[in-house]
Amino acid sequence: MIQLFHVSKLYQKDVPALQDLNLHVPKGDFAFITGPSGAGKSTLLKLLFAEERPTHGQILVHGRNIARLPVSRIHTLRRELGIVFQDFKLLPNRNVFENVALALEVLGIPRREISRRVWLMLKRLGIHHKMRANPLTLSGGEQQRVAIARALVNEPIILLADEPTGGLDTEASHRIMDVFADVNARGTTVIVATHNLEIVRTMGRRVIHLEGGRLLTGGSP
Amino acid sequence: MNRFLSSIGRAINNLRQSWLISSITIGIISICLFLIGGYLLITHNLQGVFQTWKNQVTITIYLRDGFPEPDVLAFQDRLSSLPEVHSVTYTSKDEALAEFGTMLGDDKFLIEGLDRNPLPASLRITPGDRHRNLDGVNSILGAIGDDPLVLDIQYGQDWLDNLDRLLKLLDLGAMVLGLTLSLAAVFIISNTIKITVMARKDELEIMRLVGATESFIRLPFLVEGVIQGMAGAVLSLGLLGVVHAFLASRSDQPLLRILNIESIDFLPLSAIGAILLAGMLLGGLGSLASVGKHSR
Repeated sequence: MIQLFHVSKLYQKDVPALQDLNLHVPKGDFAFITGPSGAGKSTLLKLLFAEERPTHGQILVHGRNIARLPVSRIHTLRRELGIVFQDFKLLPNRNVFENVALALEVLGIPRREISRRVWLMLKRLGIHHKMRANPLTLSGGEQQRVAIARALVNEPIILLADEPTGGLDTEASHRIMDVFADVNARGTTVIVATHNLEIVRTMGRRVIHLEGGRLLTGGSP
Repeated sequence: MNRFLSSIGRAINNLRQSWLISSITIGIISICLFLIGGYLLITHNLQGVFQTWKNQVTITIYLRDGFPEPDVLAFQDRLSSLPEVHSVTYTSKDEALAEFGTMLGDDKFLIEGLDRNPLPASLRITPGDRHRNLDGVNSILGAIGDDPLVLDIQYGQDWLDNLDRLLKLLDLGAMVLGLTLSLAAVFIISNTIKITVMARKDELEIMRLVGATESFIRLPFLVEGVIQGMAGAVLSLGLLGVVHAFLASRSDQPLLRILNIESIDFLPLSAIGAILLAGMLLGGLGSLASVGKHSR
């Protein structure tokens, strides 16, 4: 599903964010990327959704080499991914329903089909009763569930999450992880970057540990 | 088609959500187009004045006495056939004297009892519309040459020189002013739209993250820019209409009488169309340029 071969990323000359990374994440895997701040967790995720390009090495995602993916084709990769961030990235001028619907609108799906799928996804995540609310009026945990609904509504094959429980309390964090476990059980590959070691321990999944841009453990399942 | 319609829907939605910044953009577009339109309105109305002045460009050839009429008519035909010439009118010696008598009025007795008519016959040449300038007149003078019939030629050289310089200056001024205003308009509009794009930076980022194509992202901005440009153009035309109505109601001003302007016309349809088109182009291109710059 995801393979990295000798991947390095330099933002500035001689300051590598990632160094010679070799990684294999098979289909249906659930993996945490851990490590202290500046270890390269976010950079690794950005490489996977082609927000950044590797300085060296090759990255295969679902059979395509995204290190060589032209800018004009990036959208084809992103349509196979769901991406979740710590700061949710919800639009305050759209309500909950419209925020989630955006991911389907860009695919040109008919409005009726969009309504059906958004409703089902919000229901699955238990926030359907707030679908007309402005996201800013929701709690952090609820906002993150809206962001996850948006990431999942187009049925991605891979879910990437960057510190998804960053600003959340323990209970909300566990609810988010339950959602991820459920998504993974339905076949989606899940990769979560986090420094919340308590969550990592509780979940008991594969751990890819980075430090100083180097892979310390967990390169292969 | 469906995608285009949905872009219009999204553009209108965006305009509604950011109505303040959209209103500012429309206002600025309308001010720029108002200035350009105002300039067009003035020059359009002064065209009549320029035409009146240019119509006064004529060449009068005074003829020597004693040539038989067929020679004079042949000379007149030769002049009429010149491409620069619109018409040639012959005034015989007798007609000249009669005209002079009319001009003298009560003092007509001064020329009564003359033993011979002292006034020469003449040919009055009116150049074609495009040749009522110094170059045209010089070209006609060259074609007349040293014909033995010619006694004297008058064409108000100093006046024509001045008119020529004035018209060239106005043309240059028109070009400089039009260009400056257009450049200023493009600059201001693209910067204003840039603000609206910056304000939607997050939306653009999220759209890209969920896999939107560049055309899907840009089309609503293009439509939005075109709508704003068109609204600005309509507003500017409305303002020009108000100014025109105000000026038209005061068309008895002495200045207008001096300039020989009987009534103040509004812009011709071609100029109205050009302003609308310019608004849509400025809005659309300004918007595309801004989205392009902030797209990645």
